[in-house]
Amino acid sequence: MAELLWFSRLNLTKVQIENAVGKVYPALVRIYVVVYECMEGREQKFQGAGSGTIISPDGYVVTNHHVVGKAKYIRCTLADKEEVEAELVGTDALADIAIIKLKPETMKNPVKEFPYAEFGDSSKLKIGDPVFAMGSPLAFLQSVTLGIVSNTEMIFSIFSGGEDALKLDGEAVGSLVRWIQHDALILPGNSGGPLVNMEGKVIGVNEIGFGGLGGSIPASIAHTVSAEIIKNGEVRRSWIGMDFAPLLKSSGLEQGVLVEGVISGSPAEKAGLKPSDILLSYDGNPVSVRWDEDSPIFNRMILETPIGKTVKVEILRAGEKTNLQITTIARGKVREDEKEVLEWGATFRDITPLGAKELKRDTTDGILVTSIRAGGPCGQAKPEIASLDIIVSIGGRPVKNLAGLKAITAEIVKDKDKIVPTIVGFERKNQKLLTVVRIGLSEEENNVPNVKKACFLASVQVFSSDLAEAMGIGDKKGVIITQIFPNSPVEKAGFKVGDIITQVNGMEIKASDPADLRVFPNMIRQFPIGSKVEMTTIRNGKETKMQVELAETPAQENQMKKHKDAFFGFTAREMAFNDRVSEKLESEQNGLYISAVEPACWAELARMRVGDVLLSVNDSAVNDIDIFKKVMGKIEREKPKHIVFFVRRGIHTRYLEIEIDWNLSK
Amino acid sequence: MKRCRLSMLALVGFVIAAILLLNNNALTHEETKGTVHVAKETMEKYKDVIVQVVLIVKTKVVYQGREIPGGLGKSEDEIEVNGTVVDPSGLTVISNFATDSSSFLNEQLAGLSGNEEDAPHIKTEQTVTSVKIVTADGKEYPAKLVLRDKDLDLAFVRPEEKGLNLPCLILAQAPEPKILDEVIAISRLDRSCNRQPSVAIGRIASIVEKPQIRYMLAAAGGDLGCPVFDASGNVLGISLMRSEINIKSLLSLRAGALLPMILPCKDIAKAMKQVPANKEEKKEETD
Repeated sequence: MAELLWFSRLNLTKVQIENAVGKVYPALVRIYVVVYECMEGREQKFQGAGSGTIISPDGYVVTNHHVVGKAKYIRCTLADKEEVEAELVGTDALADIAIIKLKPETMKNPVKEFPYAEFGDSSKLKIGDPVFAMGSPLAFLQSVTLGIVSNTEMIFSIFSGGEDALKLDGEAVGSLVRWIQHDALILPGNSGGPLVNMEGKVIGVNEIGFGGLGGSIPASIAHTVSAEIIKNGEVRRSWIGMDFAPLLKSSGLEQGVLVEGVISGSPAEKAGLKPSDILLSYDGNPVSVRWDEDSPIFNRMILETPIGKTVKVEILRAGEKTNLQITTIARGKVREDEKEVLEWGATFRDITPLGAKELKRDTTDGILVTSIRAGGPCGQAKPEIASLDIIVSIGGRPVKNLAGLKAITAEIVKDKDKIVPTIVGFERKNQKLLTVVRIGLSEEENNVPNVKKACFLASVQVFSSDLAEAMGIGDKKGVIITQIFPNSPVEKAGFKVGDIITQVNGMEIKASDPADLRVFPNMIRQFPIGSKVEMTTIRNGKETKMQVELAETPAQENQMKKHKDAFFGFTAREMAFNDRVSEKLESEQNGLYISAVEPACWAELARMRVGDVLLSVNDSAVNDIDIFKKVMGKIEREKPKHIVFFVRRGIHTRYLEIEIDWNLSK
Repeated sequence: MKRCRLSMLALVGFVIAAILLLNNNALTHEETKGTVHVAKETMEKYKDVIVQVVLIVKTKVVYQGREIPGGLGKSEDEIEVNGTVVDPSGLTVISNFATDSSSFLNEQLAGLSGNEEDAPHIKTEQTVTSVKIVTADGKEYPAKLVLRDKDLDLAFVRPEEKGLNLPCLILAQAPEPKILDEVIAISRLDRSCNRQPSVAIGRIASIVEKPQIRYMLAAAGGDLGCPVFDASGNVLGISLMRSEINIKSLLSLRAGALLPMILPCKDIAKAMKQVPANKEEKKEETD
């Protein structure tokens, strides 16, 4: 009954809903992605999930830039649960739209065509229209929620940050996009999924959510941007270098666009535009920005002007109308992609023309430092190189871009196994500085041995004064054996759990408070390894003397042989004594302890965890590090599509399977 | 997690400050004129054996078996500690606690979880990825961490360069001080003060016997990694962190749970015997 009331309120029938949803649902994809972010001098990988819509039978999928724009690996789950890998075709941060393409050859059962959805006309939307938000909230499988259009011109007001409120890679999405606001519930994971109208057409791409409200990029933008990315791999836009704003209330004007400023050297400046000019028409079209909501529309007009076109603008200046001509130029990106350079311990990006303007530089020559590793070559230089510095010379040679930096670096470190001190020139704000950077890869992480000590191979607790009193031997101090390690000298000497040791070679063990836990081990370490000591022991009330050989303290975890598999991103080490004791493993039970799993690496995609005990890889048992290296080496040579790790996790065993894209760079 | 780590470190800092204040039981003492003279001579004689050791420590946080990515779970920090050169090759003693507080942090994380069954299993791991010894004249020597003893809070670092002949402190058989004996503590300020040497005269406030003998100084003096001498200028030992800390002692501000104390020379010398020979020396032995 409630269901009918809800539908009738929206004037909908179940059949209408099923028809609309049914046209798009088969085209939904859940996107699983491994992305990278440059931070602390490294490209660090993260896993993420989002949604997308197949928009062509050959498998082009529209989604958000913030879902896949920095993808290293993409895998999609279709509506029928089939999995298929995808590749990034192109991405546009300004519109937050990206296109990926499904790779049917990676499917279990490859298809010739994919079900797809069509874009609708978002300009016809009205407040109150029912809409469906479809996608994969919280990475669940495809789902649908229903709501209405709340606002067709949603922007971020000055109270919520203005057009800069949502910036992606330096691009203010709000300068171009006026969102469709709706109340069909969307959650993290819905990003990139479709907003669908009652005709079963995609009228928006869901992008942002605020509690019960969602914001969707209108199809009018998403469709145009998608088509251009599919055709050219990118979106090319015009730029004239003019800042504009809504008309001032004090101007008394009701038509026009206020020119707030012109960027030095820009087409607008060359055309003679000045701050305070009022733009009345652009390329023959009357224009007006009275409210903030009008800004994205006007901005889009400029951005979508063909690059290099000369447009006529009519302006009002000091009460007089004048015509000017502006020739647009290519806008380019605000920011290029960041990349790590291990030999520098830093991440860098090239400087775009727009970026150079923001930095108040006349040239794009140089490479911007975006992050550094505190312990790396840049971080250790004196003075250190920091984020936002611009590298301009290396070893006295000017360097213009990242490709140049990498080339010079390769020359510097070639045939050298040590770091190479190199003079580096860099700019910091308006200063030109010099430093010495020790360029190169240095060895990390040495296994530091622990001091070898004599050890009583059993666990003990302090024989507290409370216990002594309760047992009626209140004058005794010492330790009680709580655990004996199998096959140890302590076991062979005949000690048992519960034995109370009060003396070592006639010396009283002065332990009677739990804080005295280290008194006994400290007494033992005074003896040479392998020496035989006499322990005065109480068992069942009777005192006896027992001899035991003191073993060497077993090697600790950090002393065990280990190997990091750089491709799969995990570290395995040989089992330490403590591992066997805590896992209750027999000495003949082998395997390697997984001590590290890098975030979003292949091993983590396979759901490997720190603490797993690796038993075999593709059916080859791995009992020591040398065998492990051979097995992994063979896999990296033969490049099988499927890798299966068999692990023990607690009391369970698990098969962890991954399919590898060997072409993917790490 | 980074906030958790920072707030834990802040809490520790507060506790250490509180414990030190609570233990300040010597507001003033009278140094003999003779001790002042010996202190000046001792500082002149030994100031160059105190060096600064700069380490890059990588910290990783593992939560439920997964490394936490990015800034929350990984950090790389540069720390600078004092050390005492104990061999002409440059072998230097530093406080192990200064290089690896992960076991201490893990104990706190475990203690804070409450319900062990549902405990989130957070663990930190720290590794030292770079070591440099900076001598009094400002020269830097790349070095390596070569041996640790967590129980005694000892760590040894050694320069990679062979054939050095650096000023050093020989850890000979040391006299056994008594309570209230005057002592001379030499240390070095950090780079912000140009690494100037510093000297203080104090007294032995206590002799702790468990689990091993250590001397506690009253009030000033006793910087971690720095040597302490008796009033005649004989070295007694090196100041290192004695840690018997657990969550109970932390929350109850239990005095003595985490305190710098002097580890006698003989304990350090015994551990020093296990410092592995460097590869070239080994190669020369086998050739």
